Amino acid sequence: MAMRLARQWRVGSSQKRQDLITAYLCLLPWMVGFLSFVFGPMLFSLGLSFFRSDLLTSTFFVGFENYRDLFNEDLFWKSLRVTFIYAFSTVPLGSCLALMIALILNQKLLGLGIWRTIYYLPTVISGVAVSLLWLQIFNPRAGLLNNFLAIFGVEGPSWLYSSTWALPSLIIMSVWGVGANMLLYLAGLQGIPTHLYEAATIDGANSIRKFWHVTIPMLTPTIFFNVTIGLIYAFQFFTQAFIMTEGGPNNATLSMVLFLYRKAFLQIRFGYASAAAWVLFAIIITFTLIFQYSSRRWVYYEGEAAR
Amino acid sequence: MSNRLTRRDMLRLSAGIAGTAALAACAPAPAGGDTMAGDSAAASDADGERTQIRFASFDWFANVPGIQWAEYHQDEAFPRYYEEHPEVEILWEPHGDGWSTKVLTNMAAGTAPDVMSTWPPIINTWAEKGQLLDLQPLVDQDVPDADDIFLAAGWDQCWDQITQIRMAMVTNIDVTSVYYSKPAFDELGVAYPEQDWSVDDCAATACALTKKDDDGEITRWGGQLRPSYVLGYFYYVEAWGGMVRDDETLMECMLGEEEALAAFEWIRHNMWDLNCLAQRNQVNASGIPNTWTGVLPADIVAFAERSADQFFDLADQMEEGSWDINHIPTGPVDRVCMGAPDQWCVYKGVADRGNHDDVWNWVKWIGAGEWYQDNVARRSGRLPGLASSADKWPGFLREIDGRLEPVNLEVIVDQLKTGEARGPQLFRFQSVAEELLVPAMEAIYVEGSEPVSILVDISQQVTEAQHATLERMG
Repeated sequence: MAMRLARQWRVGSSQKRQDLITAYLCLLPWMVGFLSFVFGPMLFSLGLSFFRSDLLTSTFFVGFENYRDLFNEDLFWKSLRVTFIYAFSTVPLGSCLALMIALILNQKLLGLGIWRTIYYLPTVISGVAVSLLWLQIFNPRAGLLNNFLAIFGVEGPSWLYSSTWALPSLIIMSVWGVGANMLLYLAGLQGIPTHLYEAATIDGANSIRKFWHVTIPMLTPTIFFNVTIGLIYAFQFFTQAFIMTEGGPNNATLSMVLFLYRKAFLQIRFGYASAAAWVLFAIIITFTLIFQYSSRRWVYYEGEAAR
Repeated sequence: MSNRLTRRDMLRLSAGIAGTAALAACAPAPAGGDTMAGDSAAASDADGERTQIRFASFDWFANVPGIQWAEYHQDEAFPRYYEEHPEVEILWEPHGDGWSTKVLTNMAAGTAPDVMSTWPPIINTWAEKGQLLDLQPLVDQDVPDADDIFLAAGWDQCWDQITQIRMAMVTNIDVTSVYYSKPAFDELGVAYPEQDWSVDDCAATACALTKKDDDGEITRWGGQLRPSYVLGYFYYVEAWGGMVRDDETLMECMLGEEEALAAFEWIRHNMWDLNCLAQRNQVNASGIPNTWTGVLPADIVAFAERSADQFFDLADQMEEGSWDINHIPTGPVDRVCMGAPDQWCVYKGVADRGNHDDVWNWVKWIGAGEWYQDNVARRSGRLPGLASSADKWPGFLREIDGRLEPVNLEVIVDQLKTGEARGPQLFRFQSVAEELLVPAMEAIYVEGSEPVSILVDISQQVTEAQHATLERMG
């Protein structure tokens, strides 16, 4: 890239040079911000993960000791398990639900704009406010959920106060944020050319066949995007567990980020916490790459077919 | 003339801004400190201006209705101090949410505020990490009678046993007492708790006051122990004659020993087998808006252990004379309750910032000065650390709200003076211990899924974790 830009610089006209300068100047604030506040700290934390450090008194190089200790700690594995269950439950659940809502809102309904706004609205509410709201919903005796279940004669569980139900509670709560995914699916649905449906109708396809053979293939780029971003976010879940359960009861909702937060800011083991952060990063990047690689087999870009 | 910004103009403008920013970034920093406050203090001296003190405090502090802690400081306390010390300027920095994390990050960067509000065990960690100024030499010099004038319950907890430094001055002390609803007792003809009631009396009273409906569902529990933090039950270990950890190294966990297990079993039995003491989840599930201040007014429980911050809420929500305060029940060996201070500590960085003496004068004024300590009671409603101010505390509260006249506020001062109110027995590495103890205690008390005997094994793990941490620190 740099070579190409340098070549462009040499061979380009004065106008092109000015364009390049303008482009760099426009990019500069972001680049400075990225290097200073994202890439720099990332490199620092990578280095820190090989040190025993509290950032206050002492720093010793310990090689891979932090990583070794991490893999020997039961709590780390527990937090990993919690994170995986959460990620691989919320992402499919959220994606399916978002798609379902998008399909409904893609119909010619009365007050469509209002419905779309209503479904998107929860996305703009802060995580803390949402957590406080769901604390009330999950209240075992007075909460909405158990009162609703009681209508059908079902005695609801203790939700957040039970180590069995605390994590499922957070998973249920995650559907609250499907509005953003829904909006992307909606945009995807509206981008599907109508002539494809017309052709399918002429071929005698019913609604279900049209959904599976036209809608889903044409939506695969959106599905790919939503699932990839969803997984990245799900692996980093923290706010809900931090505010609603503090990782409990009995560490049943201890996510990896909460685990590393505790190590860094309560036990003041920044080197160890950095190692945990890099393990999480490795997990996220691995799944992202696998997903990216597999996308060649199942994601369909209309433009590619034309090439 | 055209107002259109051409690309050439834009390029010039951008280059100008970038150049100015680069020059500003390369300009030498003012001499005399590597920190924000250091810079400002040094600059102030050079200009003959006032020396600045960064004062980071909780901004949710006041319990007295209508009083904003931040406003009180800026409108009353600071101007009053400036009358005596016109040479300084105090900069108010509200702690806000996540304050301990932010302060820790500031410490790592060397930019922590000069004076900070805090409490145990956070302060102990800061002391262990060498981030605090040792106030003892200054106390010896300027407050030689400190051991006599401060309430021991708070003052003793300002001394760090590990680093052997005076970590802080006392802001105020929080005390756990028993708050009870008189109508709940009257309704069932149960006698009010007496000053020297025992844990057996407490259990019997709780069961006598527990009400059930026709289906056998409990509609009101007799009592509730201090909720929100299961480690609060550790005070009962001391009441049974046990210890949380050894007194010398602070690393040998003793919660698996006979006395501790007996205390824990008493709580578990009354909470889970008899259910005369409400479980935390039962109160949380009651649907009352505030499970901290609302349990008595809503008749969810008849008596409850709570902090010394209930008075104005209870006065608002209950009829005058319908509630009162009593001591914690006496255990088989001792009577112990929480007496935990909020504190002001000084960041070690002030030694290099050029405002060391001014900072100490301010801390001395708020920690040992009668005007400010009286106002801890008057303005915040909390119990001051200065014994003479604490004595006046019940009177101040009754001046603020006449409905507190029939309430036995003196019990709380008594709890402090008799040694009933004590600091928590903290481990040397408290957060490491809590990582093991909190899940175990939650399993026993929040879920009721484990017997107290699991603490024998957990206790051993805590001790091992303490030693492993010490070893790791080299």
